[in-house]
Amino acid sequence: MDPLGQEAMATVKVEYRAGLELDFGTRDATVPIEPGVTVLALAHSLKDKDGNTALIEGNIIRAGILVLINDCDIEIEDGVNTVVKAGDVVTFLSSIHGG
Amino acid sequence: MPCAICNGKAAIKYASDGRLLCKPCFFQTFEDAVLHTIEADSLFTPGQRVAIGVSGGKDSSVLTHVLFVLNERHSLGLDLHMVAIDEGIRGYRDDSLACVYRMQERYSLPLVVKSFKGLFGASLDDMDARRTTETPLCSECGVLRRNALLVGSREAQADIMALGHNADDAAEAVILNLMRADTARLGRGTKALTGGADIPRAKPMHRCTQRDIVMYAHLQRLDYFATECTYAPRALRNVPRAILGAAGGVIQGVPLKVMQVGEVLSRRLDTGTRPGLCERCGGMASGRVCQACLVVEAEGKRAREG
Ligand SMILES: [Zn+2]
Ligand SMILES: [Zn+2]
Repeated sequence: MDPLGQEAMATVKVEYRAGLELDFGTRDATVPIEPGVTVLALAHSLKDKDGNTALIEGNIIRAGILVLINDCDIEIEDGVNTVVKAGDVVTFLSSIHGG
Repeated sequence: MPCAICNGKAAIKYASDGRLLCKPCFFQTFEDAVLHTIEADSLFTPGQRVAIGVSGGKDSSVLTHVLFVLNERHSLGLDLHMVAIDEGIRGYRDDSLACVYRMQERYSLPLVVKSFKGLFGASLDDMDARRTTETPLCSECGVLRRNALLVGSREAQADIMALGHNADDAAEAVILNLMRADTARLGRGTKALTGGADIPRAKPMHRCTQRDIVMYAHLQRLDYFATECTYAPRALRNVPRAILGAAGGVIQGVPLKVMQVGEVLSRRLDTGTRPGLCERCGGMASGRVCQACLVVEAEGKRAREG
């Protein structure tokens, strides 16, 4: 392993919760990110266990899906345009799945 | 961004009114809103035994947690019990009941579990297997679950039931009843307290939005089982849910606004007739026999013929 290659591999921890863990077949994932990637772009890149972009509908984040970065609501920041940084914990919560 | 209450660092947008709050203020505000409903609508009185309808899902898990916290913090003097219903839906209810048992351990509350099989002679899966049409049994299931909760609450010797219905549920019901032109039931889901049967039904979270409930459950790291009922993809509820979901991205506080319209319309359309009691089971009934008893009768007939 060359140290330069490792340094370029920035990652975030992605948490699927509130029902999304069933769609994605996992609760946690470590995902490599490009510098400057937004929440929306990250959500586009995440595929569920059937290979679908389950977080996206009509090019936006599906209604009823809440996103937090390090336990902070992205609505406090720039919404889906909030930039995700290496080492962040990005949580996707579904408010659609059964009550 | 500063917290609207304490000036600390805001972390959550409180969906009910759009304020930006820090985590502790969000918890406090959410719990105070439930306390406000309890007090403003005089839901409970000290010494009452309250049967919380629990499913293992997020709404009832949040309700149980908040009632438990408020009962201690404000000395409400409530004798909290839990009632769970096993409809007999494979791959759905088994896991959510496991969660109910974990809740029982965490809060040390007495629990009564009632099953469709035991009460009505058939599980929901049995009833579905007898169906020849694609129509889901959701409305029948709802009617039976309501009845089973009443039976379970009686067994717990409860004075009142506490249910996890939220503002989004109420708004969905308003839209659904509008589409069906069911004016008599238009505002039914919007009230925090409904009487009629021997045990009234209280909904302490009826003004809490789904978004705030999900946020609260996550940030409190509550244990709950989030999955869709296996019959849900066929349910009629998906229509109003999609409408509310689409509107929610554009208009602030949509569920509360739709609820408000339901309340106003139902007051204007109120004919003054009050439901009576079912002559068979004592539950709430608009005729002589309640919906639950009619469903049980129809299912029994289908079972004998099938
Ligand atoms: Zn604060
Ligand atoms: Zn009856």
